[in-house]
Amino acid sequence: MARIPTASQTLGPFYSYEFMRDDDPVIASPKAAGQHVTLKGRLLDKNGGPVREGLIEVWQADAEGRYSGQDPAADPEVRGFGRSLTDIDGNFAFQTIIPGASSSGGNSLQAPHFAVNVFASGLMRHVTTRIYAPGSDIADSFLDGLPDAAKALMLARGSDGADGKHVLEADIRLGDEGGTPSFEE
Amino acid sequence: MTTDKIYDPLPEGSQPKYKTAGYFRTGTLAPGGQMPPLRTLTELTGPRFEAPPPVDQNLVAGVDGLAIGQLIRIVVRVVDEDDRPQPGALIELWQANAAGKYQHPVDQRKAPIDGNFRSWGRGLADDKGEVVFLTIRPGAYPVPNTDGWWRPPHIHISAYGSSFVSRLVTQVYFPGDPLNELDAILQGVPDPKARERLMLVPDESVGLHEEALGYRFDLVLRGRAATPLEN
Repeated sequence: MARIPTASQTLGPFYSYEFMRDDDPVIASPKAAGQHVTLKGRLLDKNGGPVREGLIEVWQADAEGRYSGQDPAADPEVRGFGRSLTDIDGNFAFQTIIPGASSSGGNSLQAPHFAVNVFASGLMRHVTTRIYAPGSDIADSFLDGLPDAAKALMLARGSDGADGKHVLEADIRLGDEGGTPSFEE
Repeated sequence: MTTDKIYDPLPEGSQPKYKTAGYFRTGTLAPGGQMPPLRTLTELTGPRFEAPPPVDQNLVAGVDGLAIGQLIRIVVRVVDEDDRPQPGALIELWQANAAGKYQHPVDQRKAPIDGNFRSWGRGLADDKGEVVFLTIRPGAYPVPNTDGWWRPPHIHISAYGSSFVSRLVTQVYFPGDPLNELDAILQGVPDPKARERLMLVPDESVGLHEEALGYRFDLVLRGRAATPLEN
């Protein structure tokens, strides 16, 4: 029997803090192989104002481009998934590693990226986007086909954090003017 | 796991538009022109979760007795578009108490708190795709800074299915409540049949005799078999 997927409804402002565990924003443990980074940014609305109580979810590969649960050889220290509730200033942050290039089917590869789902009060459906790690020389048919402006909005900025850990920073801007490019569901 | 599924476009009208009349906030968050979906290994895989303890499925057993309100027992059944159960799907559920008040710092409304009610629950779908929650029918509550908009009684449900694409957050409602017709969020789903599918279905057989009203809800996550089922 064919069934139609259930309709989305907004997350609302009251998603329980009780759901959030201390390790929810930890995508890769300190023992994971690869370049360890803090992945962070702000969730913003059309006017550049902060979106609080937003839920940012990330799914990514390990340092060799393998996905947890899919590839038996995947690094067991990389859960691959993390989530972070935005604070009053819209901040989110994850502890992770830069993923390796993963397959996009056949022999072609995808540049290192983080898949992102965004939920917030006032978003009737979630928004799906990607954040790309900077500095990759992988030929990526999707990324290389993007207009420069859109590409720039999806690329994280790299820097060295105060704690000596590398930082990847990417804001996620919602809204229909100059927002972060997103995908249809 | 790698999903063995095909993800077709969502049927027209079955999902809300990002911009919804009567819900002001949607205007500053709705994305503009979107790109066609990607369906790579990234989207076709997804996280798996450990099972939360059974106590997490009982929201009404307080330290000083039962929570106040109409006790209800809800069987959430998680399936894909082929009606196949989705064991291992993580379900999270949150809701207001019988007075329409959330245990949440953002809820600043003056309304009673029920110390015996816990406003959240979670569970992992079993082999039949089911998670069972014991809770109460939540109260309605007013939306701040609006012209008299009250949310109808509703329960928030979040589900992680077999892939990144199958992720869903929704709200379920009580059939026949007069506030349903007036709610901008529920009415933001264009197709009346899709709204009807957000209604809890009364089912005496899953209630607790003389204790709790029974309801069923089928949560249909995206994806259908990549090859015909008979193969």
